[in-house]
Amino acid sequence: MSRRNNTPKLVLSKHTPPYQRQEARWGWLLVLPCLAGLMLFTYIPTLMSFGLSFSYWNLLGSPHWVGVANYERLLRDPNFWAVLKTTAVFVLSVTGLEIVLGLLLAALLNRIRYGKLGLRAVYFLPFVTPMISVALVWGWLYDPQAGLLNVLLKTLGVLHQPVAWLYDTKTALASVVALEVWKTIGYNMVLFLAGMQAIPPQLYEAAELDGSSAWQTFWRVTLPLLTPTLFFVLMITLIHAIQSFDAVYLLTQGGPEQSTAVLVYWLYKNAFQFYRVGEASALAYLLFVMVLLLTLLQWRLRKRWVLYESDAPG
Amino acid sequence: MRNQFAKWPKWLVSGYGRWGLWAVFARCQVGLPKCGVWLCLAGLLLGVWLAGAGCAFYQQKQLSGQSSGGRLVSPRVSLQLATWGNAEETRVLRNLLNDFEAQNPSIAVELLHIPENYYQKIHLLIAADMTPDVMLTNSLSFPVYAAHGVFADLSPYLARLQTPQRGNAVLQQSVFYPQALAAFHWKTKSGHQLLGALPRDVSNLVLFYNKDWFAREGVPDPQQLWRQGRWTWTAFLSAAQALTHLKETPSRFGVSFYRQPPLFWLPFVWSAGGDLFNASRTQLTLAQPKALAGLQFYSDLRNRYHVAPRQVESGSATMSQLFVQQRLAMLVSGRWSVPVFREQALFNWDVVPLPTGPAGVSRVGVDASGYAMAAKTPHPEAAWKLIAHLTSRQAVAQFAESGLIVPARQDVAEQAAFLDPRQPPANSRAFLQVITTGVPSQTPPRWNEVSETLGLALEPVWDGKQTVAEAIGQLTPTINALLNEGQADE
Repeated sequence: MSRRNNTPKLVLSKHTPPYQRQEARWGWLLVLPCLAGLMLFTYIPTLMSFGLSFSYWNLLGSPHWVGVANYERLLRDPNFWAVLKTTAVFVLSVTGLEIVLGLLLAALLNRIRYGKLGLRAVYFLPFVTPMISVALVWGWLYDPQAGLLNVLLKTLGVLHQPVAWLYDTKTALASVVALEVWKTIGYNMVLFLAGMQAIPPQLYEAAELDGSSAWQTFWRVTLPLLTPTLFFVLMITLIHAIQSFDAVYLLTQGGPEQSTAVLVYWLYKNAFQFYRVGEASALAYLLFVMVLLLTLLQWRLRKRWVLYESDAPG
Repeated sequence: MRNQFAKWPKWLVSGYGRWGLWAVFARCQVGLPKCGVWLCLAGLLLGVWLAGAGCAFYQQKQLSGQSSGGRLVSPRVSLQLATWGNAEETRVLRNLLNDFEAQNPSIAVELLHIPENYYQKIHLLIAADMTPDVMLTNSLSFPVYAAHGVFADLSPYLARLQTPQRGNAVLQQSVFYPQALAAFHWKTKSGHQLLGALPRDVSNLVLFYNKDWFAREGVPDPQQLWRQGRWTWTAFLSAAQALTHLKETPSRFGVSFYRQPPLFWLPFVWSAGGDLFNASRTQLTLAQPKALAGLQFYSDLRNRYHVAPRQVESGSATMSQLFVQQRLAMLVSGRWSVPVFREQALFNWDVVPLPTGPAGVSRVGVDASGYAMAAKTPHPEAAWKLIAHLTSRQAVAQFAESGLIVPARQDVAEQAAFLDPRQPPANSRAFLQVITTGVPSQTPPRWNEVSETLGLALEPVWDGKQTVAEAIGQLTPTINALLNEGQADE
């Protein structure tokens, strides 16, 4: 910590020497275009949306103040709680599966000697494919009559009656989760793989000399040293899952019987189909508070389980 | 010096463009940029210049009558026209617009084609105070905008034209189907009756049926039954039962089934003698016994008699696709299906009105689409000219010839342009018959949400998990609250 911070300062004080003042001036000038864009299209609308969450507005008339009525209405609306529950199930299953399976894939891929590059590309491909094309294809795969999935399961003798996948309240959410996991898993895998490759090989050599089994090595060496990556992946996956919208919009429109209506999709419906801008804004802020709390909680808990090399003894 | 830019494109060197160019030249005179800051400044200037040049280019596009000497004459009136529609419809429209511009050299029309999520875009344009001067609207989504004063009242313009003028410009109230006009009438808060749009077409529902399939199975032809007054729910159900073959792979069904939107199940409510709302549209009236019976019959088609496909049986295929694939003998649909079937159906098909219900009538909704003028347009006269052109006899006939629409003008509907006997369906008149007994669309301002809420509540009914009475009982207070909220909006 004794190292002096040499990065130029943007915020000045009375004691700032003139050369730094000049640098700061240029600094501001250089970030100005970017800052203006952010202000105009992100920060100002976000603030305005906060104001709108206390008003009634259908975009046509002028908004009028309704106090906390939007929040009150939301919290009383059984639909809101149903949507919240669906979102929770969706987020937990997507995050859990993406992390466990991503980790598994990375561990397997880390061990194989040949074809690593090719496989990595193959697994990463879905992540960079646009959701619209993925959803179209998966919609066909899931088709109860002509879909590949049912045909395959029937041929294998697993199924006798076709499963309606996206059209059945029991299977629809799971079907969307499967698509979401398939699409994002490659990204997590690449991150885990990078984390694994950064682990010094001598640690593995030492473990091997000590007669550690493969499982023990993974559990005692790989996993602890991977926790910084794991933490990052957890945060990203969680936030990504909470924001999920496109798969639901493209495949099920929240149906059947609202069984796949996740929070952001519901928000979109309120804002752009029912033109309840006030309520949609209130919903957005509730979502924001939830994500914030979740992030703070994780940040807090991080110290308990994330191992940073700089913290490691000796 | 004066003609230094004579050979440059005008948009490059006019206004901001010229200043930007000068700034870049001036910078080059001093020498190449020495550091990042100057590069950034140059970039900024380039940006400003491009933006300016873009504006100038746009401005130039708006202006016309530019003579070779670079002299500008008075600007043309520019109108924006918003429309949905497929390629064929847009092609017809473009032709009409070319004619219009040729006839009215002082008016330029910019076409804003919005093929998907039409009202989302329109809603935001209105919110941004960029309402298109003229827009196509349908009667279902019309009330919310009429209530907010988005549309100009067209009745004074129409009244002016009551005396016949030259040729095709004859436009009188009486040429339109009264049901279609009624769909665009709106009573303002002050009690004034406003005509918000001039109808171009009427949307209603008929029953498409596979003639070959009926003949093959020896099922009496619905058209014959209709003429004898025997095309009732009972006859319809027994036909559907005779035509359904569940054991085959893939199974084939008697009739189509749609879970959404209400448009498809409302005919059964109306033909049973029930209604959706009370007259003032403040109460849901689906809980009344007649309406319930209608809904029950519709649900039974799928869940009790199983003559309509369940979701797992239709999968991701649309009902129209199933009809074309000869997996559905009868399909409830509208005129928009005609061009598709003309092209794709490899069998004989025709149309017939929906069967008469217990109330002794066969009633379907009559929705209309038409051209509305923005109340805020700076060029109302030009906008009116465009609307009159697009709803003229000639124009509506051209739209009708594409097979896509049922004309809202009676004088076109009775023409070969619509009834064309050389092309299926032979019984095109059915579309006109159901207008006269139809229910003009009378949607409340919050229709989007009302319709969605209705649809969601009825989903378990359509899936055979809940009775109609249960679902409607729970639904009534919610819908009533929405209806009252919508009234307060106005």
